[in-house]
Amino acid sequence: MKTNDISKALCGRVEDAAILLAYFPNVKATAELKDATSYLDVTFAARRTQGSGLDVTEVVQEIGIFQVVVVVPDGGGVTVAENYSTDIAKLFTQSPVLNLPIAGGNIIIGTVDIMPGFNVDGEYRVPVQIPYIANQTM
Amino acid sequence: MTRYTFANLGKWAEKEKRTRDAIVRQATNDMITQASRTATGVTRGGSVREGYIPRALGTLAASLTSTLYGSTVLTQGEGDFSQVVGSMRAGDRAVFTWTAPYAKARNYGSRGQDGWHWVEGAANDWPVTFKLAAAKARAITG
Repeated sequence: MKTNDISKALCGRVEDAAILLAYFPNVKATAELKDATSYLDVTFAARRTQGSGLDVTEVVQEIGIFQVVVVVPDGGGVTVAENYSTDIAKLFTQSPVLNLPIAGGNIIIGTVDIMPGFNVDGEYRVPVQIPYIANQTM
Repeated sequence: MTRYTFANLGKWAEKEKRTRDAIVRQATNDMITQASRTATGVTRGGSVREGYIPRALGTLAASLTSTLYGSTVLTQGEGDFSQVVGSMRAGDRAVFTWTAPYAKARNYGSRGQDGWHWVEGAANDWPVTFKLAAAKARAITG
């Protein structure tokens, strides 16, 4: 399983949409991002692998939850954050199902969940959770 | 293995119902047990360990509340979800919540601190947890 392919596909989709500046896993923040009061916080909340991949033709699966947190300043109401989180959810929703191609396989996106927002450290955060199943032959 | 006929179909149905209930209880117990694991918190010198609850004074882990049917809080407290789980039947709705004010920030993450994602870790493993519980129940009940 080439985790890099999955990260590129999912993180790349958020980056290309350019909804807000975003923190990506292990990517140094630009000065502009550090100064931003509204931004996205992107991470992989959970990941597990199924299938040994011992045979090169065997499909290995990665099942996980990709998380994009919409962050806006505290006290500005919920509408702004909810609008952004809806945009993120739309990015990963397609009828009947969103299927992202990767080398040697694909990523099937599940039903996106917009979680309740919460206040912390002067920010209001709304997590958007995108469950996925990635299938790939080694 | 017991042989069932049309005459004792009721007995088969009762057995299957008990098996389903046992699977639901076992799977839920295993999932919440996994979600309740703790690791040394950052303030105590630990580092973020995904899938675990950070532990400093134990307040966060102890804030778990368990509710069956959503109408009555049956139990509260760290590890004390057995009453709710033990009462569950297939088709029931149970809700497990960590109610500490900072629970969401610790689970999802906040500025400058990665999330611990103990809820997502257990949820992501649910299909495997359920499968194992079903296999266990079938092995016991035959």
